[in-house]
Amino acid sequence: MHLKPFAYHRPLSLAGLWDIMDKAPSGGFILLGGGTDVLPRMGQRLLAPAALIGLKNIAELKVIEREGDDVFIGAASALQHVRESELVSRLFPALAQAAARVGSPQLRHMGTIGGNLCLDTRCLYYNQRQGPGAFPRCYKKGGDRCHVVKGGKRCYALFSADTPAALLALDARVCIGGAAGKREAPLNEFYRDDGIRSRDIGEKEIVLGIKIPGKPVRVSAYLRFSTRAAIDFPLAGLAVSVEKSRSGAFVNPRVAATGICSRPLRLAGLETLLAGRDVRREITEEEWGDALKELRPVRHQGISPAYRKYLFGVLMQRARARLVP
Amino acid sequence: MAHYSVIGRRTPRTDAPEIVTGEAKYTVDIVLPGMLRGRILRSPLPHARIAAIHAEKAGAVRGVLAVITGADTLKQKYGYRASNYDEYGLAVGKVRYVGEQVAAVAAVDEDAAEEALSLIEVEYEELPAVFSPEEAMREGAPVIHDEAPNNVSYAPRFHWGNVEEGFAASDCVREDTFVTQAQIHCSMEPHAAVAEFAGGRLTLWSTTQGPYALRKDLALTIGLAEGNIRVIKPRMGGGFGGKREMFASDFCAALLAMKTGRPVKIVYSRTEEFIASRQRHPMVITIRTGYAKDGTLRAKDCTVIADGGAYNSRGPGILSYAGASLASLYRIPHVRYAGYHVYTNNPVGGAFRGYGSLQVRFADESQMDLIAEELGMDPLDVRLKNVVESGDTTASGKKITSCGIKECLLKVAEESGWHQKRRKKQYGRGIGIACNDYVSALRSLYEYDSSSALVRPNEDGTVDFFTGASDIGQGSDTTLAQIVAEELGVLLEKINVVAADTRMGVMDLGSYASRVTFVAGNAAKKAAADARQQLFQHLARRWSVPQEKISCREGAISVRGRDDLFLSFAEAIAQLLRKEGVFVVGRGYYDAPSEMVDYRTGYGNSSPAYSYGAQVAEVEVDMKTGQVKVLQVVAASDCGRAINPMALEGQAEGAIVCGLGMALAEDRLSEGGRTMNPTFLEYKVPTSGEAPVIRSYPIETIDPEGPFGAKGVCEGFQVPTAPAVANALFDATGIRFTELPITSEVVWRALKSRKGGGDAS
Ligand SMILES: Cc1cc2nc3c(=O)[nH]c(=O)nc-3n(C[C@H](O)[C@H](O)[C@H](O)COP(=O)(O)OP(=O)(O)OC[C@H]3O[C@@H](n4cnc5c(N)ncnc54)[C@H](O)[C@@H]3O)c2cc1C
Ligand code: SF4
Repeated sequence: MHLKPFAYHRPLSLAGLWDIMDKAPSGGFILLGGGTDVLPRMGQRLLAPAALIGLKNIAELKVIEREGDDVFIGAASALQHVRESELVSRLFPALAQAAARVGSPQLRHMGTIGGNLCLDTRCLYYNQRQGPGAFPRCYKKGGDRCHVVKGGKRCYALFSADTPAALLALDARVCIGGAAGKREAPLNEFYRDDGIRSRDIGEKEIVLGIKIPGKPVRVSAYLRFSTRAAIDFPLAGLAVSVEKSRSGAFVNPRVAATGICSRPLRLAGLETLLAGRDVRREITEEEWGDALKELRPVRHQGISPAYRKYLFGVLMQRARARLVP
Repeated sequence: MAHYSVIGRRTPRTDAPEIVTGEAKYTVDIVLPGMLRGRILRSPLPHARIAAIHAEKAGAVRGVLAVITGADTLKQKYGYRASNYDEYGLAVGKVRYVGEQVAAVAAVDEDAAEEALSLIEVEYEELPAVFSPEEAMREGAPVIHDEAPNNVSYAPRFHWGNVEEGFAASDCVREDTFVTQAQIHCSMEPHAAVAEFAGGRLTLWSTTQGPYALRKDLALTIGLAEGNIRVIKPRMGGGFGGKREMFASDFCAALLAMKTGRPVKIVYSRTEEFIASRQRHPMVITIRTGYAKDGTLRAKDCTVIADGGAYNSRGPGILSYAGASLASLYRIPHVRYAGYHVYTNNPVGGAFRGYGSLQVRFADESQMDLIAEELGMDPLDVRLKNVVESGDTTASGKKITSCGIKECLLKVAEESGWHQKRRKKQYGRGIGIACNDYVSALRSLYEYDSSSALVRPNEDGTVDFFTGASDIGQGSDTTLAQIVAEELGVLLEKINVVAADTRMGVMDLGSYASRVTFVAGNAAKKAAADARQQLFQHLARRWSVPQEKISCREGAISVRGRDDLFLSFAEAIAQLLRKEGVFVVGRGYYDAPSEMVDYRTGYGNSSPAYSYGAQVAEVEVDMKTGQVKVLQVVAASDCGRAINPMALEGQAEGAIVCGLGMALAEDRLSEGGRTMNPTFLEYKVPTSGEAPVIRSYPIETIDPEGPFGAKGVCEGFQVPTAPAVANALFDATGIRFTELPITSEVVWRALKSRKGGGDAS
């Protein structure tokens, strides 16, 4: 892979990072977690940054630790590390399961959870080397149309990172920081259904990490469907969590999906369906069909919307079975 | 068997350590002083007239030394046979698919080359395009080549026996249609070439399956005498048929080197591999078969419509072989075949492991199961009843010599537990069988099907073995070295293989048609025998013993009945070289005793031997999502003799996984002639995670003509995989899938529509 020359910074502390970011021309740099998505995009000439700023040498961004009842996971933690963390697998199985499904062992060792959270959306019309036979520029390439949704007014590129679905179902909060200070927001508010800017983050801000509440204790699971067992994004990924209770009923259930639209999405219809219901009770196809009525996936990766939608239903049925105590 | 010391043993490839440690050097690793990097500009349109190309700005980029377009070439077409020549090294006048080569640049580095590419302005006049062969054949469709007004560039019509009679004599007749997709070779190593031009002579290092064939294409299109071109094939990382002919990388590197006087390297990107190399021909196959109530086949009438893409490439040969394969596996007295190689504005179809027979076997083997089902017979029995036998001459003129197809079928049935598993039906789990035959060389393009070799022992007992054969990653260098070592009586590690360099003067037609072990192997064996004979002749004279009493084994020469006479091979050679001035140089030449196929009738015994194979696949279907998991594939192949059982297993595993990719997932998604998934992420080649348990067994029939009885097997291994899976899916679900690939969504739809919508479980 031949790349255009670029500068490469590796700050050792957040202070150093703010400094570099401050001096960099706006839009001229790209943050680098493990680079497992940035570098392929550079190879495909989708990105040509003047500088890359690596986050992996900043110790504060690599911790996984308790903060009171919560657990904080630094953005630069490798997915493998997240997956193997005893704390994570005990408290947040859905997250450990999601991290375990990303790409391949190599990608999980390089890739970070911050990069996974901030993973750009994908589309067959966009994610290939601009070369012969390029389609007329679409919105995401600065053009005036969308090829996936003909006549569409926005970009419908697909968000399909694994861990964000799990984190949404775990009520996680995202910690964002910059030279100006830190802020925290529910992860659900971090995303928007827009293929071009699916994340709400300033140009000079970074994701510091993710905070997951340890209380109330939740039982959770993440399931996904992909064509291949590895080196493949999910065609559908679904996380479910429910507060642990004696009643055996779904208390405050959360259901979140990835591979459905331009953001990871809480599936309100399914949450309503589950709420208060006995965990042991099967979910029929009719029930989830109804609960997913509102979903309108579009055609991506040659997969029909109807099939994709069906997959979410099947995943829901199977995820439920995993929550039975 | 015990009397062999080298062959028949599980032998790791001699170059395996280099390959796995990364020490091995490939074409891309070649660096020459002053070398330039070349890049190719490709067509963004599926069909367009080239009105003008403005290359001035590109030429002015700092570091750019040359820009070439079709106008700088001889405008000489090349291709399969002279009558099928239709492709240029660089487009002339028109482009016919997205990705076709339009111009090329040579620059001091990639950056300059890339910048120059972006500055070449091509004025295109877009023409209407057509992407399906059925549409391309219709009246009024856009004409892609003036020479083929109906877009049909080749239409073989074979008729052996009399099908009407055959159908009249049949109890039942059924007709089914099958559809296969475009599959892309996905060699790990992309196409690459390095060219150097000095003193009027061109040297080209290239990822080619046949240096001699490439030299021919180059001589024709760049106008140098063949003798002034040296083609060298360095170590290669895969071909699978995708590197048979000249590519734009070869042509442009050569021309740019000639133009600049500096070496030029061109390496395809993975995108170029996907959009602008070659692909397996998508085919629509309709087969009408007549048969008796007891399952005996009587007649077959088949039509194949192939999407040839924009050029012929090896298409005509593939269409012929597709037809030929209808009559060679089963005994059928009456066979008729109509093939259509149709131009479209899709990427070019070319040779790919299986060479057209693979698509036809998918159809035919699926239909065999349909017939079995209709008659209430076991699919294994229908096959056993009809397969050819040693001594047969098929309706198409194939003379069957060694033949182990029955043993293959019985072996896979036994090893897979066929009968028990078929009896114990379990919804969602299934077992399927399919079989195949394959040539061991194919005399169709040239009047000869030959190879030559030299064996030259050195004074230290090592042996330089020169062969024209191309090891393209399949490990044939090791197999050939085993043959030489065995025949000569030395250890395998003593053999130095020097291969695939046209300057060595040992010609070979190339790696295709599963011919290397058979044809180059026979040449190697003869060369080794010649060297041994020369050596023994001298020793016989010196020792005054009859030559027949001398033998050499593992580097030790002995004389039967004379324990006092003993010499190591190394000593013997050293003495001859040092003291007697005798150069032992063994020469070997082999031309397969086959017949040229009459391309008008398709009749002829085109191969010196035929190999056979059978596979059983076991699948498990997720009845909700439609996802298919292949649990196990059991394969048996009549390889004649397993020269290297380990290499054979490797070939089985690679081919079966490639066959599974074709069966279940791989597909070139396209829109308006553009390849939509030109990446390994979106083009679903199976990973090790999808690879099932594979068990493969050699069936040794010891062919009378093959080297030590061996036959060619490498391509055949891929042929029965997809139909075995489709047949297993039928067993699992009761649904007959007639189109490839059978993706999870396809299965889901089928399950759903059978249930009448709703829950597919
Ligand atoms: C073959 C292949 C298969 C893959 N399969 C999967 C899969 O199955 N599931 C999946 O989810 N992903 C998959 N990926 C994508 C990717 O590997 C993972 O999402 C990984 O987690 C990305 O992390 P990274 O650290 O490497 O990201 P990077 O490439 O370093 O960054 C990704 C994006 O996040 C931004 N970023 C990184 N860190 C921060 C931060 N702290 N704050 C703000 N922005 C930040 C970067 O600027 C960039 O825009 C695959 C990739 C490949 C190449
Ligand atoms: S969804 Fe539409 S706008 Fe977005 S990348 Fe794909 S084609 Fe472009």
